[in-house]
Amino acid sequence: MSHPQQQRRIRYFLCLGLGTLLSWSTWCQTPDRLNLYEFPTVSNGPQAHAADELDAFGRVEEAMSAAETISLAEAFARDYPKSQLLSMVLLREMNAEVVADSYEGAVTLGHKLLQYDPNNLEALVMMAQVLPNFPSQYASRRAQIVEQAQRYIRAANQLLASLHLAEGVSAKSFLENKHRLSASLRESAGFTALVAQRYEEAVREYEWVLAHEDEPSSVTYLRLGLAYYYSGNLSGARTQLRKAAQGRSPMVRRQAEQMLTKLLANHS
Amino acid sequence: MLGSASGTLCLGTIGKTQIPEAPATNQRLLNAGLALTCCLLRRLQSYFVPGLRIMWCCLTGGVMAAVLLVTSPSQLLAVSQNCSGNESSEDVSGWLTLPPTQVAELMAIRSAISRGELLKARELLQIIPSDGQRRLWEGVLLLHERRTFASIRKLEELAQTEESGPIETLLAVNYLVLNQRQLTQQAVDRALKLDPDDPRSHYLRGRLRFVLHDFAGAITDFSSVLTKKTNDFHSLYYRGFSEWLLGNVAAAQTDLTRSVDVLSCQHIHFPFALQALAQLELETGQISAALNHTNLGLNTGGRIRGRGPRPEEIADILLLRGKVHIALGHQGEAENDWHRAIRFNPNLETGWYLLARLYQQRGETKLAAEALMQFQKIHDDL
Repeated sequence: MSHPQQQRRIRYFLCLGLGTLLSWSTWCQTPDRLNLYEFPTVSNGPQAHAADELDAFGRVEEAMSAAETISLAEAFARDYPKSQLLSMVLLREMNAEVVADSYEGAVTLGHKLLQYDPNNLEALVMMAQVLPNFPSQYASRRAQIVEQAQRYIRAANQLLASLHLAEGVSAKSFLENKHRLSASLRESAGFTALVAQRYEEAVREYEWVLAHEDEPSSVTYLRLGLAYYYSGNLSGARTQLRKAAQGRSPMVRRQAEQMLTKLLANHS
Repeated sequence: MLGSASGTLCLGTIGKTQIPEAPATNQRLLNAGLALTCCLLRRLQSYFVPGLRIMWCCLTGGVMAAVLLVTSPSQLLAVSQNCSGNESSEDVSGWLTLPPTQVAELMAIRSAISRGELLKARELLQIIPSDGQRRLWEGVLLLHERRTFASIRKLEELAQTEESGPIETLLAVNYLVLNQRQLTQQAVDRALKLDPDDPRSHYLRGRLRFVLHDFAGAITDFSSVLTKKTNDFHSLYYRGFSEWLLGNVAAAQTDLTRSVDVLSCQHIHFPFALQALAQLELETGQISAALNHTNLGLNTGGRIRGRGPRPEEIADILLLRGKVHIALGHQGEAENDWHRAIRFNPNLETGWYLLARLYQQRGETKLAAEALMQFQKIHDDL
């Protein structure tokens, strides 16, 4: 065998060996895809007493539209008025009312839920968000609505401060949720102050939110822009309104652009 | 969810969640990198004079082999380990949620599900005639697709026409995933009535009893499972933990050691067994053994079945190893481990507390004060 032929043969076997080694390592490092299930390790949590109750709850959870959620949730509340799962169902229904743009429906449900479960933190937070966002026909009740929203914000903050890490919950998810709720409450406080025409207070709350949120929403920029505008900080207003005008929501963009036009027209 | 004050706990509050993931991204990247390197080196060798080419190929091959050995140590260790008697067995997730079958078409579906090929399983299911078996496997598939309520609906509908242990145990699995203990107990009771020796029912009842702190009852159930599934590491772990909680340290150590042996042989990541064993060894003065097991817990390279370690899990093992180092008088190593633990899990208040105590003992009051401040900040939030 000639020298080049011998070399080619050696190279061939070396490459084959390397390829085999690589393939083997890839095969070894590919785990079986077992579906591993872990079960809860805590003995608390709301319980269904019967299979049909759980099934009814499941249908609410799986509902695909706001209308379907509301209908199924009403049926659940009617059929299982003493269910331990009722709070979760009412919360879901309240959310659906918000999605369906029904202020009255959402507020009524919020009151009902808080009567049933006064320490329902998520309900308190949602009421704090929903209440000040009233349609124009409720303008005459502004003071009453603002006072109610502030009461819920105070109650939610007290409850949030008293909550501690529960067994079975990871510290990371606990702190993330706590932070999320805290930021929601600050936003609600900012919006309530804006509605109550306490503009400096609104600025303080929204500035806190911007400082602590990784991805503030365009609504936050819009409302801070409004708070700056009404408190006389026009350059601050321009900056925030421009950011809001670049957001994804067409409605927010429209409102921001209208405000910017007004700002430029009145103060050019 | 946050906590129990509001009563709005998620139905499925999961303390330990193991969800299957693709092989570790870094391993895939490494494989791709190696393949690319091989090609590039193959190209490069044309620049070498003929005499050096063979040497270059050998060098390349040697480097590749060394890299692979470093990244896959446990695979090679397993070859050298005596794993006889610990044959690769389907773990509890398999035998709990995949009913056995001898029918070829159903075996294909079962196999597809166990490999995570749920779409394929669904396609295969379409060709099965619409009868009890098909409805059962629809329920199984829905369970694996995490469509828990839909799975329950399918299985409950089937249970009305057919009395069957597998249906009841699958229902029990679904209920337990949703943390519905009452319904789980009812389903398990029905399953045990139909088959008193079913290991699935005993396992589920054992888990329920464990959660409700009936550790003696849990031991009985897991023992029953282990008569049929001797290598089930979950049952070994929970029985061992139950023994430990009842103060039976020797029995606990035996079970936890066996559990760890099975995990090591089968390259399964389940850090709780290692941690529990190492903690027990630390508490009973078996410090070297504790150190070995915490080291093992941290060296999870190589083939892993299921998912790899989470940062919080690594942090927990580092925290524990730090305590082991303290017991051995290695303060420097302990400090390093605790700092690393905090990097993996910045919310690890215990890490800061232990550091504060260490600095205090060493008279480093400024560092102690800083560590204590960090601890207090996290503690107040929690």
